[in-house]
Amino acid sequence: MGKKSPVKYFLIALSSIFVFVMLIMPLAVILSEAFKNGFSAYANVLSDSFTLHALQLTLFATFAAVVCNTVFGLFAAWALTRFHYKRSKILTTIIDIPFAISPVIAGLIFSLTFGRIGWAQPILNYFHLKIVFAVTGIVLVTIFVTLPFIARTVMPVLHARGTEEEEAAALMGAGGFTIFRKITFPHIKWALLYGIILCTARAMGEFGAVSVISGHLRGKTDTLPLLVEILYNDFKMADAFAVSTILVLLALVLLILKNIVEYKWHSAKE
Amino acid sequence: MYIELKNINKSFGTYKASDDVSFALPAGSLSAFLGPSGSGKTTILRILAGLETPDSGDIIIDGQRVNDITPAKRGIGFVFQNYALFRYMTVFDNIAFGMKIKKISADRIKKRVGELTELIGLKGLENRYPAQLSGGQKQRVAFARAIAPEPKVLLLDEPFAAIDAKIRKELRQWLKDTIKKLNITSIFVTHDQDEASEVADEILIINKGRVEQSGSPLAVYKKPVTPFVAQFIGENSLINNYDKLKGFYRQEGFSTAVIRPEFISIFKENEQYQNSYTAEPGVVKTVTFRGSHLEIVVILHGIELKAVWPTDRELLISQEKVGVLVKKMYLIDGGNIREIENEALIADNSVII
Ligand SMILES: Nc1ncnc2c1ncn2[C@@H]1O[C@H](COP(=O)(O)OP(=O)(O)O)[C@@H](O)[C@H]1O
Ligand SMILES: [Mg+2]
Repeated sequence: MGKKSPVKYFLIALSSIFVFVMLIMPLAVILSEAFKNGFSAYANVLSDSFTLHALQLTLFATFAAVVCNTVFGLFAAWALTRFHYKRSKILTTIIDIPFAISPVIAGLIFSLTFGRIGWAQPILNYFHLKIVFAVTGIVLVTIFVTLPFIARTVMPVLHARGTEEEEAAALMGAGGFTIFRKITFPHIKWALLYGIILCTARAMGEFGAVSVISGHLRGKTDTLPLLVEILYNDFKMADAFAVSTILVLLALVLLILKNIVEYKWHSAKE
Repeated sequence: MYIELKNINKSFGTYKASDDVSFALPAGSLSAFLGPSGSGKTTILRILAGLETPDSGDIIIDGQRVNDITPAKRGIGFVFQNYALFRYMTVFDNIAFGMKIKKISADRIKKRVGELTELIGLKGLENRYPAQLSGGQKQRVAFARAIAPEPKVLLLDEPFAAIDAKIRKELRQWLKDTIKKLNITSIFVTHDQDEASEVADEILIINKGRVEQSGSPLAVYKKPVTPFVAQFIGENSLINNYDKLKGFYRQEGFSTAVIRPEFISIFKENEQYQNSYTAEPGVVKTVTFRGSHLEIVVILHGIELKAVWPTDRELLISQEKVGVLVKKMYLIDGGNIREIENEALIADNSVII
């Protein structure tokens, strides 16, 4: 394959054009549109209270989803790779459901279950809980759509390693928590971090499911992606693009973190 | 008896991994589970250690039934087949792990780890990680880690399987001597009969989840009690038309014969020998150098037989015509085994006497 074949250059050129048209150009457009009315206009949009609130809500929902799914993901990965019981395959498949279901459907499911006509409504009323058109709902659907990430990145690592080191520790009298802390965790930490980053990225960008359940109450239940949509629909193009830059920036930070983690993970394997 | 298993059964789904396993081993003994891969050796070891729960049967250690005692409390050291060293801990921390869990004081841990690294010949490597050790060194660390908390029983799963031939021989002897010195009741698993005979006081032959035979290496070799053992032990030839050989007749029900190399005498054409007229003419097919002896495949009535030839005699060559005398064989059928001598030979000998 060392030969300088025309096919090679053709494929490289094709990929480059594709990446440029599909990724670089749109990103450049976001930046140029965001600063179209000058820097002070841009700064005004970003310091707007609605923008700040949306940012806050996005970060909060993301944080909640990551915490929840880290705990759940670790437990699930541990259970599914360490205890071999009859229905563990079914459970593994169930964990994957959020990957397969369209987020809009996920939002609808939650709306219908917990909304005004949902069967869970009387219970929620009794406890004075509000899920649909509320922050709770946003957090819940964000957890739902990002559920598989951490479990799914940790599972293969745990699976590949086998259980013998843990068994060896258990034979010497180590308790469950000691085993996790001293034996299991050092092994999965990079995979876990990687899963957390993927989960964060997905949670921050979530639109479909959140859109259905939030009710678009500006200053109350709109996350950054929703705010972008609202501004766009109001023909405030420059504002919409300005808010988008926050998401772009966050994405870039995560991308860099992801690469660092990948690098560390690989060198840890050697 | 120190370790006793009574009627242990264990199934994985529909697969019977342990089938009515019973045995008893005295304190301080070093025994081997010998059997082909997949025969259930590891499973028995894991049941003993408490890593697997038997479906039925009793596990008794030092007179106490331990079925319901947690693995950590059974006083067992376990060396896993792939060592299972803690890869994110140094050699020191690996060996110290069990003692730290037992909350032994740091001073005493340090002293004992020092003694153990001395014992395994790895002094000075305490700060290495498992990935920085050779196979033999890992094996020794795994051994030290297992005996550090001073267990009463030591179980070793294929301790030499992943180590190259030369070091394996050294390590075998070392392990045997060390275990004897420490006087821990030990069982090791192997699929290598040389290893089992060389290291163990007692061999338990495992096949299809059952203990087929147990006894000293010599007794098991000399007197196989099941067809499986007769076939499994030794470099045997397995033949069906055994009645073609002079001095043997077909016996009702026995369809197969097992012939060990040392049951066959080979004579050079011009050689003078006792029983000469009972030997039949055969042809050497292949000669393989085995270090201490030659492995010969000889053809007799179209039957291929494995035999041995000492290196200090005039060498045999391929296609050479030789005299072949089969002195003995084991006849086997489904579950029975019978040892038969060459009838011509019995008659012949009686004439000479
Ligand atoms: N946890 C398990 N689940 C299902 N089958 C198992 C399990 N452990 C062992 N087995 C099966 O039991 C049989 C015996 O295994 P093992 O005791 O490891 O054999 P050996 O150590 O003699 O090679 C094998 O066929 C293996 O596939
Ligand atoms: Mg095994």
